[in-house]
Amino acid sequence: MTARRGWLAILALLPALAGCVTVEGTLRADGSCTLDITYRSPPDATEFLERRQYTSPFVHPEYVKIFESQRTVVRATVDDVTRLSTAPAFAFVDVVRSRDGADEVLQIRIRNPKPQPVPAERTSDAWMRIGLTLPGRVRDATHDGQVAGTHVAWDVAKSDYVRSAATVLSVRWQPSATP
Amino acid sequence: MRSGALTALLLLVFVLAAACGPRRDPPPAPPVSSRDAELERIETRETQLDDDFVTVRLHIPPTPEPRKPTVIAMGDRSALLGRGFLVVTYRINWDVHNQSPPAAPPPAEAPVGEWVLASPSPDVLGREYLRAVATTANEVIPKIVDWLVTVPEVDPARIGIIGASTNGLVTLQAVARDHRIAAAVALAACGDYHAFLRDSSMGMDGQPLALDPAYERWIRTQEIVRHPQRAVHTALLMVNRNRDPVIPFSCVEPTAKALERAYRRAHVSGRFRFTVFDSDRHGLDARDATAAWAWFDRWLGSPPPHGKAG
Repeated sequence: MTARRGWLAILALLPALAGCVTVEGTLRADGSCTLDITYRSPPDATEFLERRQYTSPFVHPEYVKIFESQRTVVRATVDDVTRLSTAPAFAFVDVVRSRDGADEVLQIRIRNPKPQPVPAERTSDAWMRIGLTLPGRVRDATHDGQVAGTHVAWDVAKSDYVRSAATVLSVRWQPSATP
Repeated sequence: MRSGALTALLLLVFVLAAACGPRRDPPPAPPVSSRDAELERIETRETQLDDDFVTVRLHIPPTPEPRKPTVIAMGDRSALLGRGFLVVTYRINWDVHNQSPPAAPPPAEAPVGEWVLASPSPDVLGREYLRAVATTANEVIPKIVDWLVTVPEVDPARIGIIGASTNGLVTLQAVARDHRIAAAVALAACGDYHAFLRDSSMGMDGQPLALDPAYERWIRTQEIVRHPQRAVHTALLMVNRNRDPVIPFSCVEPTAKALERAYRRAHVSGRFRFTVFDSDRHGLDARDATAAWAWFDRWLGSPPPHGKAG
């Protein structure tokens, strides 16, 4: 019985997941957000158990569906993105919001409890795609984040995650004048 | 006229607000591969039973038959779906009712048995395991069937069950418990629990049993070898290996003989078949699948003209 997981988060337990994980989030100015997560769950997965993984006092799954292909789609709302780790699926994901002058910064830290060496040739295997729409124009992002207006997208290679104790993604944006 | 102008003004304000506000284009949905799209023609549906103790998933093939033959099956379901069977899978959420999962033996003082039969002492060898089998067969499966007969896509006269090893034990007991199961396939399983515990490589491995009397009495109420007449309503196929170390033939053979006698007495000998393959492994291969699908095709494949076929 393998563990199952989710968004950036899924990350955490990610070694158990096969194939690509995509996470698309929308952060609002008040710190709440919506997450759309797609991944492949194991054959014995149930929507009931997946839903529990995405449930906490701050995280609320709205939609969970496991298709026959085992493609699994989750939509969850988060009251406060900095409390994301309260849901089991995100237990290894720390999110911090801070100010940098007039800008705001969001840092997503995906911890890997058991980093392992990875052969040098295995560096480009796409594994997780994380997209985030922010409440303002993005100024810059780390980890080769692709910026387009208010959106940033990161690709995280499995080898990057496996070899590191933490994968850190950071984005800085200019808050919109109007909420 | 005034109301028309007001409507136009409101519309203008709305359009401007939408144009000037922050862009909220929905992100593009991840592409679905053609293989996934093909598989996803099979509808999945999930429900919770018994206060969340059991999760049941339906896998409904896109066949024209409005009420489909249905098989409760754990493991690979693709072959059954490909043959037009609606497949039912389930998961028991043992933690919901604070029950122990079946494979969690307590701390041992004089440990005996291995793997699922591992037990703290010989007098309770396999007790947790057999209780889990009994709970599944006697309580969970009937509740699943209770629900299945209410599902529009399920033909209530064509419900079957298949299981291997532990799920094979469940299959044999469930058949004895629920008369709505029309066909069943038990692979690598048996129903003489005394012989199973005594001779299985996971149990006493041939050494004598020394079971607690109360536990032994309970076993007698459960094992199908003592109650084979309870199964004769079902078209039952048993498939075993003659030298399977986990499910010993000393358990298999008495079970099959008892069932053969019971079906004969009920004048429905054709509903029982016992198939033995020569092998010293506890496992399955293509022969099991061939036998199982043929059995389900025969007994569940087409709607019986007047109730169940005999």
